[in-house]
Amino acid sequence: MCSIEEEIQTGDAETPSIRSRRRLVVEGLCHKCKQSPPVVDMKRVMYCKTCFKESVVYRFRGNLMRATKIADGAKALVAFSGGASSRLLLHLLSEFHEPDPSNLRKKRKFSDVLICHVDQSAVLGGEDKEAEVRRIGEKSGFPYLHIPLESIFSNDDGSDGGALVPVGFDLADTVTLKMVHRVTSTLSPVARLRRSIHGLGKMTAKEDLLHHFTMRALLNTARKEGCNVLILGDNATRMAIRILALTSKGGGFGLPIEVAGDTDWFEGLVVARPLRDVLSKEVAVYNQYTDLDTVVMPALTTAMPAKSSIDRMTEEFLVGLQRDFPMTVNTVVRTAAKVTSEHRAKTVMRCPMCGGPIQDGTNDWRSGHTVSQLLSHAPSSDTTSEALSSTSNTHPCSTSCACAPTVNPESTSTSCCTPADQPINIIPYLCYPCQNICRDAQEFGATAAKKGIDDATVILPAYVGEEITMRKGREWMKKEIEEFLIDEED
Amino acid sequence: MGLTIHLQFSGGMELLFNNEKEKTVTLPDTFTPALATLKDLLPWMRDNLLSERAELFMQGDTVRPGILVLINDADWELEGELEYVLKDDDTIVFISTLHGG
Repeated sequence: MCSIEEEIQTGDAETPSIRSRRRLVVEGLCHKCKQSPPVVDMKRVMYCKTCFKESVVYRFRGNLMRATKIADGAKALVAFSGGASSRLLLHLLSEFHEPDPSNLRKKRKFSDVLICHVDQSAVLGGEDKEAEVRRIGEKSGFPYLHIPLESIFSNDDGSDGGALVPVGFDLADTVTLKMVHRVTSTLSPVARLRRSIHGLGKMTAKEDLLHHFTMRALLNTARKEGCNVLILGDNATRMAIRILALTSKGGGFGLPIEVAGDTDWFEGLVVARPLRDVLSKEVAVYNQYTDLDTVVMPALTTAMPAKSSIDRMTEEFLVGLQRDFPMTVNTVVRTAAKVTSEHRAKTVMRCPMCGGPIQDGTNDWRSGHTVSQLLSHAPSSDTTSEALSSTSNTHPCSTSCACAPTVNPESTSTSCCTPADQPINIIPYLCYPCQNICRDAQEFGATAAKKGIDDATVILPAYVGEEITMRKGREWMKKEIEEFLIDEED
Repeated sequence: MGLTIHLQFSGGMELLFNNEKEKTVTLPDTFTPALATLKDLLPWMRDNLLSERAELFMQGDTVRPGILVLINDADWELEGELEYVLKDDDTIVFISTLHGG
């Protein structure tokens, strides 16, 4: 007892002096170690080279451990584009994966680490740089997977999954995009991918769709390889840009899964972003000090003016603000990390296009504030159920159709309520930001069709249609058995 | 003899400078040693070295936000930014931290 009290007393007596010593900033020396001259200024704190690197590694490890609260021995997939952030990610991860020489019994966090590079060159160009990306990736010693982005148009086993193609356009009606599933297509997967991106008019829509496709390819690969963790290289600056851009595009509902702690939205797969506290400036400085070579891949908006897309404009805004107010990025990221939405509610569906949550009542809300139809088509109170009922009226579903969950998925293409038979308006089944992408496709396609250009129409991967069909099936069944269901609250 | 400066470009900056990652330049006599600053060097680079559009490199009299400048491996914010007095044999690195370079 006495000794504890003494300790407390001595601790009290020493605390102020330790604190003041810690806070003391020596002019002309690193603010942390106070021994070497500083070389970097990060948010008004000056670090020497060693302390700077330590601070980056510390944040990386802390974030990785926090995000992956699963048992040791998980299998991880690292997304690697070849750019600065993912290059740093790969470097830090290979250091992290090294066995600890001072404690050989210590287990590794991950049993296996795979590198996955999603090759976007079919859309963005830069095919000549793929070899360089592969060289850097393989140098790390981890197995390297090269996944062409166009693979999202194939089934998991590599067979042709067909595609969703639009059926007619109407300039006067921007809230419907009728699409039909075609099992076979003469177009190669690359051509389909190009059509889907270039079938959009606005750069914002193109960037968004490209992002969804890339995420989809990464998630597919992670599942196929049996990984438990997907590690992404988003840095703090990029996260802040994404937060603001997503919010302005109407995607605020999905913020918790994009930026906050909800890392296991994708079933069975934890998505970690260990560089979420590291600024893009810190990434660049670290890479420079460590001689990490990167590959500059052109993006859709490379060398474009700031107004070319919402994301590009947000970047310009945020980076400009960050120069004068160095805490901007961190403030945005930390504030957004606290955002909660009802995205985990039972009624919330997943968007077939982006996999994100669809806010309840999205269609009501949209029809309440949009004048998007010049025809006298009265906005329904619930477009989803209207679309559903009209479908089931014209083609009454029997229990043997694909809507019933007992039927195996192969037979879906022949059932009465699948997109193979009749076009569906896909818009009511999507989340708000993805609806915007389709509206853009509809507008662009209609304008092109008017000019007589018919190969400018958007094509979507078959999985979008499949997921809509599945959801329609579930909704139809729920409606059929509704009166027999017992309400949980009763 | 004018000042000799080593310039390096990365992160996409090289695309603006003839795709050259490194370049050693000897500055003309208008750059007085011990007086000429980075503020003088930037417009000179724009007028003499830049191969692409100037607005992607400079904004006002400084570099565009998102472009990081390191002088002899140290953050230029510690070196007085534009007021840094150029010395012979300095290495100045320009790194774009913007998406897609």
